Amino acid sequence: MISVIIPVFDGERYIAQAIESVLDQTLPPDEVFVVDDGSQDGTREAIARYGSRVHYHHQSNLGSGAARNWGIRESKGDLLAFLDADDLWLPRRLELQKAALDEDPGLDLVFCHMSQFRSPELSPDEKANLLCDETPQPAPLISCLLARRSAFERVGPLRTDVKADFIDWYLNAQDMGLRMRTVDVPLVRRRIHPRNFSLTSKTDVRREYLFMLKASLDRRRVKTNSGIGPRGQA
Amino acid sequence: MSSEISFECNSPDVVFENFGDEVILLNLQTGRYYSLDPVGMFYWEHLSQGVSPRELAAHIGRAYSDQAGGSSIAGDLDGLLNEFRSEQLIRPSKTPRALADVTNATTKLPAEYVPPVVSKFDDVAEMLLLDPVHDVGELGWPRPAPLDQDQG
Repeated sequence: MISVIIPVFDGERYIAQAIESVLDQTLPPDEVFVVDDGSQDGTREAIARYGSRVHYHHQSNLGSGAARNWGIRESKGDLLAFLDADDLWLPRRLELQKAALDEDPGLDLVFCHMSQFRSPELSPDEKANLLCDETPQPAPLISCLLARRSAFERVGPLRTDVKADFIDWYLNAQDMGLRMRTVDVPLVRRRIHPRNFSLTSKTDVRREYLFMLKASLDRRRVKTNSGIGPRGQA
Repeated sequence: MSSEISFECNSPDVVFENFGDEVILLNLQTGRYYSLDPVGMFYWEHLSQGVSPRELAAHIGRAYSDQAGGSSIAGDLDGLLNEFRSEQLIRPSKTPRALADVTNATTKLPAEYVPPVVSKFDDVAEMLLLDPVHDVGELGWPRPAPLDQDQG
């Protein structure tokens, strides 16, 4: 059983396309949760048209980590897929990634390749200002992840006190030795638009990275005693 | 000669934090991160504040004069400087400072000299490079796309 979790904040412009891309899968998911993280725009109305095909949950603005955790807790699937509300899946995303998990029962996480696109409604000036490498590339992004629920049971929930919640989770998963694979096919389209970049607290996010990397190195050093150390090159 | 000039941290592309037991640097343009051990930490802290490599090498050489040959220490530090430069962690500084003027230093040289080691990691480079934050200029807007890039 596959559950899809889509956190959204003020996503009225793109959320319908994201949901359509989930409902149009060649292997449709069993349930879709949209977790509205305190949107002030027309997100709720944009989702209402999908009726019972989408489970809508509203929370006060607690961040993407808390929104994803809610979806993980409330969903029933043994497989969990995630999508950010401005990104899109290509139709075979779930089919090919589930096949990878079926092939290898020891695999915990499956990613895929992703291509980026400039959001079509942008003005020429806005488009010209956005760096957008459209070459398909392997992408350890949460929009590209299909995970066994057991992976979240081992690693734990996402942190709710940081902005880069998935990077922190991924580092933990890596340090715990979870097995990952990347399906060598572009299955996700990542939308590039100015709001990707409107992180007002980017300095804080950079600082978060350093603290996450430090924690990860320390975890790996503990393992060094059992023969698994950080893979640094001196 | 590089040891005559001064350097500073190549920010905002490079961010770093002193955790007491190590300094971690992250280059947001490459996704690579680095850990510095104690001698490297001392060297980084002063070098990134504009102290010239020559003055630093002389200071560190004096601190360990009875433990290691001066030429070996100078060679180690030269290697460290080359690593910082080749990894684009530093750039030439317009505001050189004397070692004596660095009053906010927190790192101290260890009692015994150990050749400095830069440990380099790229295990999450793909992920960090995809994060929008690495493209953001100081004004919060991404840098302009290159002129020859498709703007469609």
